[in-house]
Amino acid sequence: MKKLRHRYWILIVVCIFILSCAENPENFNRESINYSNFRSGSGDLICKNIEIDWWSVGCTQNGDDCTWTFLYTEYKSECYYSSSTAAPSGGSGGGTNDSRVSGGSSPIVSSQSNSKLDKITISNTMPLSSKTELREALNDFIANCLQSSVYEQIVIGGIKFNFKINASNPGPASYNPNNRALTFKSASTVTEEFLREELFHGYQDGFYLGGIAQYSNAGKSNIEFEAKLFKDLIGYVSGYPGQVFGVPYGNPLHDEYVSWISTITNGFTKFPSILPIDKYFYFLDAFKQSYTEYNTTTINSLYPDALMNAIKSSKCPK
Amino acid sequence: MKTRSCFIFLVVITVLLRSTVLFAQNNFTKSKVKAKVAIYNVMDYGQHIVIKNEGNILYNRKPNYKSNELSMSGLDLAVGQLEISKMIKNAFKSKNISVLNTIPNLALTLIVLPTGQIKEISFYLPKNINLNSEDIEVIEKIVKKIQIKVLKPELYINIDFIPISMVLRSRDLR
Repeated sequence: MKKLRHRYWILIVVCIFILSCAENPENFNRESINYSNFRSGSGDLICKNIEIDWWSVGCTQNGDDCTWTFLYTEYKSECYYSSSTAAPSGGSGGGTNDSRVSGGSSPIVSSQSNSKLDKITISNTMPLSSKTELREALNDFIANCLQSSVYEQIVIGGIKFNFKINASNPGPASYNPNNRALTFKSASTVTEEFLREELFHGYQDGFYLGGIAQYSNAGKSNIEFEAKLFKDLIGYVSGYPGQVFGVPYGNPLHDEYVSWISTITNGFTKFPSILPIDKYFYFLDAFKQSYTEYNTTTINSLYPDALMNAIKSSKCPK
Repeated sequence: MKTRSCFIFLVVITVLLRSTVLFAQNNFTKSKVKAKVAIYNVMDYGQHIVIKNEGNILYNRKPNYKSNELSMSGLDLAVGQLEISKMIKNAFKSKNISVLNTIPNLALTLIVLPTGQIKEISFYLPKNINLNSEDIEVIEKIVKKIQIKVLKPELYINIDFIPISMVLRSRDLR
């Protein structure tokens, strides 16, 4: 009898455990660190770009499934001195003689944002203070998993920009595919908020065969809507409050557009791995009604491949 | 024998409790629903619904600025988002914890005045959400009490209103 009662209690405990696992979010972070080596400067300073993937603190109920939501990727650079001046810069080639400075000297941890900016720079005529702002804006840009993917694609594609400030720029920031100029109107517009779209245009320029200059008229709406959808997905899935750009407020299809984003992102929890193309063009038409400057001929065969490639290449939930 | 039946009973109870989410009812089948005081318009978009207070007047008005050119850096939206989540969580904690445990991510559009006042709200929700019109009314009241801090008022001179989209994470509401 006593044995039976014991079993009964064990079963209750097991059931409570199952329930609590399913219903209650458990807080945990999973940290995975990927190292990618690169040499910094001509000395012995070796820097490692550390990528930290932070995972969710809870589950999102998705029907009867529990989706563990991804939060973000953080990038940190850790630098240390090599004992050998001939240390290889990573990859194959045998083991390095690198050793962390220890026994009194802790590793030098510094931001390598300068190198990140250098990787995508042809020229930079901005004042020093704006260059600092730009580095910070780029750091903020890369902190997001999808934007980080865009940055990586820009670097891999060898796309570089001429950064400048020009008070006569029509908007807060712009990208000119003819001379790869990424121009800000003033020091105050050198922010991640305005860099976001222009870097995406730069990425599109490298991604689409022949660049995006060919779409200065027909196809311009395709290019622009893809960039706006990119920004809206970042806003909704990454949880940045702000404006909706694709089909903005005041457009009769705005609510339907937001509902569509919810559908393709599984309730704003992940980036879409597939984009229903008929709906995409349906909302592209609505987009053209809201922005007269982009109301140009749509190219129906120009799909948002750059966006989908960035999502596919990313470490974001999808 | 007795143990086996106990086991089956407990498994059945467990499965039933787990499936409450699956069988969550849709409280918004009509195009208008009444809460305690307010009446809400419900728009149906397949798997999703959009709910707006009948008194909302700005939802079909275009903002009087170019969205591309307006910076949001003058509004402390991140703090506003945290504050809203915290207040909703507290309000439901004392009321109905079971509702909060099944709540999905809530997407809102807030119509913010240049003063930081939240004037109107639209709710973007999955159709099978386990909330009713009275819950929506509670959330709406809570959100409208919050003032978004305006860090750079000079950015919003001559602007009528700013629509802000905001997702409240389910994990922040529990």
